Amino acid sequence: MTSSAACRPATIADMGMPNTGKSTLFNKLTGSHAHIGNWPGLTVDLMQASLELGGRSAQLIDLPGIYDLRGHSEDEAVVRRFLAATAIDLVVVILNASQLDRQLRLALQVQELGLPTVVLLNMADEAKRFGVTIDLPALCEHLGLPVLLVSAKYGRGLGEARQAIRKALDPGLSQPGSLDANGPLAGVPASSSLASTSAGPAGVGESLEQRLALVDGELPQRMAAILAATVQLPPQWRDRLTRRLDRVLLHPLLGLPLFFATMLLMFQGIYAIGVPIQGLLSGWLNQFGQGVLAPLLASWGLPAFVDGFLLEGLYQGVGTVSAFLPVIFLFFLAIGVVEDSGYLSRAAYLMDALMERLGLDGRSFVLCLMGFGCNVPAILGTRVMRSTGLRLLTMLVIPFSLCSARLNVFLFMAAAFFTPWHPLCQER
Amino acid sequence: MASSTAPSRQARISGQHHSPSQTPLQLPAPGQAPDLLLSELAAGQSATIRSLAVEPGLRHRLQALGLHRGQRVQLLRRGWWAGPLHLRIGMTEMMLRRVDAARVGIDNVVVTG
Repeated sequence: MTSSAACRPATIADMGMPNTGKSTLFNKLTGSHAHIGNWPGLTVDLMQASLELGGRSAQLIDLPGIYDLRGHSEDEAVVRRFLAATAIDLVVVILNASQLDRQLRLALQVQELGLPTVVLLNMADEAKRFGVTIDLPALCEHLGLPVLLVSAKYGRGLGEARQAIRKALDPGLSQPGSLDANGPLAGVPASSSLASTSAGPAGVGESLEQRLALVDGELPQRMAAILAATVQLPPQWRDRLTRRLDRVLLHPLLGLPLFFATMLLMFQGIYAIGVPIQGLLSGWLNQFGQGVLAPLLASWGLPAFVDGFLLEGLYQGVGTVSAFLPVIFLFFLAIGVVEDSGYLSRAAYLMDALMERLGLDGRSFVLCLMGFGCNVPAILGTRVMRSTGLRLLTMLVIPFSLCSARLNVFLFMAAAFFTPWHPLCQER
Repeated sequence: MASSTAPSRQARISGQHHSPSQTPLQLPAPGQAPDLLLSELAAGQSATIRSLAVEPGLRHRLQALGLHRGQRVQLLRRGWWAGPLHLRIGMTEMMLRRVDAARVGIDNVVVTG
């Protein structure tokens, strides 16, 4: 507790596959006071936040979601560069408990790093619902790592997770005979890093690569053996409703019309609710300007052009833009619901054949659709694509989908310029 | 990963319309190209993955998604207009383009409905 190591804030990195609720768990563990950290040699921003572990302070760094430590995507390279250049005290591996049958692979790869590791199985509630049973003590024993079930969404198991992280950081604190926090390749001492084992970051990257390549061959057998001993999958897929829905939503003929009808409904719904709110809001802002601000400014006796600039320029300008906010908010809400429902991944399936003929793929279509909400996260989303050409093309196409803010401005402008009584639209 | 079911004799089928012979499937000899490809699987059939003849980048991604040798895979549906295949591997559902599925060798085809 009072050792010198305890004085220095520990550096903890979280790692997991995409769609494991990693970011939700990061926010729940840290209390979401995250900021963008500055890490040498990386061209991307990593979120980081302080993590309070009962007297021991630590920084938790949210690494991008990766499928494979040896993978070839941009994010996977970023994680490797980070591991090579940064001294890490502990790795938190976050896996989707219901998909442990394939995600365990990442935990086994991380284990080969030889760093102290804690494995958190997120979405424990979902795994239970799907009928996946996990023998946790056996899994701990097989991996030689602390493994805990958590549910970030419902905030379950977070206290235990913090304790386990604390214990793994300072193995001296744990009871004798407890799990060894080091992996099987315990040649690297605890709380050391890959960075300190070699001269330069480049060399370390290579050594990490080599070490992973070495174990890659035996990984499947080892994983199969552990899974056979610890995880039981349901004999039948339980989610009957999903299967029945998929039969309609992914129908070869009905699928696409249904999807576009849903999208049309969504846009119509957003504007049907948003436009009246927008009208109300701009009405109130206008009244406030005329009734309160105008007399106030008049009482100050400013020159007319300053008066006009403040009221008609600044206030009305900001007012017009903020009147768009309800529609933007509704749009983000709707696209968030559609995204979480899993309908967008189905849209990728439905659109892939068409997009393939355009040199794109189903994911490009989904990202373009998400671009209607905001282009920035959509363009960031292209990072999962392995092909550079496809990624660049998708990035260039996304800005053609008008984001909810731009769309409002376009509609506003269109309504202002192209009304039947406007000179631009007069035939004569 | 005890999801592989022993193929029952009446359910065991051979290489569809692609293969002229109607004899039961056999494991391809080592080094020999597999008789059946994942791209040839019909909806409602499941099979065991035998080989992944893809570039390393894609192989890593496929393995991370659960597609590795010896793993059972079920084909849920095939996309329209030569679209992607909707697969289930263990607890994961994914879609795979036919070009990529044509690089995956399979055997032990069983109708699972």
